[in-house]
Amino acid sequence: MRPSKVFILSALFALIQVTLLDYFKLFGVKPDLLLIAVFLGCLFLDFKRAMFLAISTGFFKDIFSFRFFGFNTVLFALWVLLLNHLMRRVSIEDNLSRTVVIFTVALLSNVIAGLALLYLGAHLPVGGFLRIVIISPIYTVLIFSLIIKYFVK
Amino acid sequence: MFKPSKNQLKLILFSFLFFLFLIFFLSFLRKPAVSTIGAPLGWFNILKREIGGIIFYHRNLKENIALRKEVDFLNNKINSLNECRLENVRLKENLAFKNRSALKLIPAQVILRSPDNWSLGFVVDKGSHHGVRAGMSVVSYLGLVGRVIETTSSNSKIMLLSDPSLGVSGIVQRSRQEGLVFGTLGSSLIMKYLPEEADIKLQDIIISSGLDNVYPKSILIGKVVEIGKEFSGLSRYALIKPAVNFSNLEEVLIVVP
Repeated sequence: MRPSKVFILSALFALIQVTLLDYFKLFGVKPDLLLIAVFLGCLFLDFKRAMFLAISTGFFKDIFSFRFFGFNTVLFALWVLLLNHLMRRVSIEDNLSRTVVIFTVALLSNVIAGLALLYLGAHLPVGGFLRIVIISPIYTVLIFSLIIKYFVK
Repeated sequence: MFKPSKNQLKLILFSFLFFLFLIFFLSFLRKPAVSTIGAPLGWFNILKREIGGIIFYHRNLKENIALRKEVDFLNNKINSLNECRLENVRLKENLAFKNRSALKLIPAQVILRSPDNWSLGFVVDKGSHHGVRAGMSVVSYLGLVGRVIETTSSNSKIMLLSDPSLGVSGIVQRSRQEGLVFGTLGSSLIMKYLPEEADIKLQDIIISSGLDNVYPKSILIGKVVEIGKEFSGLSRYALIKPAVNFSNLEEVLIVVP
C-alpha cells in the first residue's frame, strides 16, 4: 500500500468518524476508524511518517472528543512506538496476525479509556462499560478485515 | 359438397346480421355474448401486443431507458421533497416550542458528532458570536438535551445528557421526589440517590428541578421504566427512558439564561 493511499484513507476515515459513523452503530457502539488508520500507518509507513500520522489523527480525535484533551494523541503515539518495537521482533505480515494485533490494540485502548473515565468519577454501569469494551474492538476488527480485503494488495 | 345458392347465402347473411342485432340491442343477450367472445378477443389482444413488442422492440427499448431515467429523477425529487417536508415539520415544532416557551432560545444545527464511544455529544453551528456561552443548557421541543461545554466564535460543543459526566437535578413530576440524573453511555438515563422510601413508580415523568441553577425548571427529561435497589442497599435507583432520542437529533435550542 502506497504512503499517499494511507494518508488519503486516514483523512477519509477521520471525516467518516465524526459524521456518518453515528448511523452505523452496532449496539450503540461505533468502530474506531482512526485506530485502523494508525495501524495501517504502522504497517505501511516508515516510523517517522507513522508517528506523524498517529499524532495528527490523535489530535483530530482529541479536538472533537469531550474529555481529557491529549489522551488520544498520547495513546496513538504510544501504540506506534510499541507496534514498531513489536514488528522488529515478530513478523505480522499475514492477515490473521494483523487482525489479532489490531484486536488487542483496540481492546486495550478501550479498557484504558474506560478506566480513565471511571477514575475521573463518571457513573458508568458495568454493562455499559463491558458493552463498549467488547463490541467496539470486534466491530473495529470487522471493518479492518474489509479494508485489508479491498484496499491492501 | 354443400354449395349454397344465392338466396341461401342472403338468408345466412341476414340471419347472422339479425343475430348480431339481437345481441347488441337486446341488453339481456349482450352480456353473455360479450363474455363469450371476450376471452378469445383477450387472447388475440395478447398476441397482438407480443407481436407489436417484437416489431417495435428498438422504439420500446429507447422509451424504457428514458422512462427509467425519469423514474430515477422523480424518485430523487420525491426523496429530497420528503426530506424538506420532515425538516419543515421539525423546524415548525421547534418554532412552536420557542414561541410558547418563556425561555430565550437560540436555534442551532448539529454539524458533527463525537468520534469516540466514551463521550457522547455533538458540535453545533452556533458559537460565542451568536451569544452562546459555555454552561448554557440545551433543549429540544421534546425535552432536555444537554449542556454547552465549550464554544468557539462559530461553533459550540454540546455534551449530551446520556454522557455519564453530566448530572442533572431531576424531580418526579407527580410526587416531587428529588434525585440526580446521569447518563449511562447507552439509550437510558439513571436517576440515583433515591431514598428507600422514595415515592416513585413506573411510568412516572421526570423533569428538571432547576435546583442546580444550570438547567431551567420543569424541562422534560424522561419516563421511569425500571426501579431497583443500589448494590450498597442504602438507596434506590430508577432507569429513565429519555424523552429525546439523542441519536437522531438534528436541530437543538440553546437556552440563554
